[in-house]
Amino acid sequence: MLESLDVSVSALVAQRTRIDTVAGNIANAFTTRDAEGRPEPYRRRFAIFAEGDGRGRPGVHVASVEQDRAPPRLVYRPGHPDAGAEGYVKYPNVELSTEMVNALEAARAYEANITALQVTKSMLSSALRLLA
Amino acid sequence: MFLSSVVNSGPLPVLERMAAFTEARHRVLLTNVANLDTPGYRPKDVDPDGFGAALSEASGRRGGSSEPLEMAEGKSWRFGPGGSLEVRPREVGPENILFHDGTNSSVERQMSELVKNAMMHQIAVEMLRGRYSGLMTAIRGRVA
Repeated sequence: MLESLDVSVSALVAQRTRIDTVAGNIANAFTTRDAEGRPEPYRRRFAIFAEGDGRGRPGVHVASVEQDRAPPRLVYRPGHPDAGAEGYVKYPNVELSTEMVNALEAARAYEANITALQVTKSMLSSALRLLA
Repeated sequence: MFLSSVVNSGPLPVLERMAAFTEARHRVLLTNVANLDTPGYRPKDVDPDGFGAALSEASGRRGGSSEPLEMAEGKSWRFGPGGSLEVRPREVGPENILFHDGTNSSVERQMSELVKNAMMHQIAVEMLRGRYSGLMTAIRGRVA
């Protein structure tokens, strides 16, 4: 019965990771350079979920964090230092509205798992009271 | 044996099976909620209606109230000797065709099943507790 808690906790961890990737995407929505300062736009990242907690028990886990392969957004800014030969700057392929929807979905799923966790806890405590 | 006739008396075996089954089903439903956003995941269940029918059939068939309860086994569950429960969760039919990533789980239905199942567990455990405290009173030979 105690392992039931782990199922919900694995989902909390996974949804949290997803919110972290969303936060990173929003933070870097206008990042035109990479960590070394080269003019390479940030690529949107997203978490891929897979069934099972990754160690053979039920639950969910983040199988990998992938980069979005969609092309970067081109904006005509000839004065920008990172503009290409034709005056276009490569901005990250991050859509803020998509990220917000993603964040909401992750937050709702997080809440659903918190509720499930509370139900498990009350079941556990009522089962424990059998002994008392 | 005297003790086995006490623990097999009245509704105790029925309640025990109810508690064991709802506990196992709770884990299956939790896994469904945890995998709400997993691509390709199909929600699973352990046929609670079939279990309820089999349980009521078995308790109706039981002759005396102190005989052990003999339950037929279902496709998704089986009570082994000694009352241990094995469940084999199976995918349930499509309940939602909105998503194109292969998931078809609806969070409302899963959460309501979760709460309903927890209530059934609560009922079974509280009634068991009542029976056990009655037994304890009988053993002690005095009230309170």
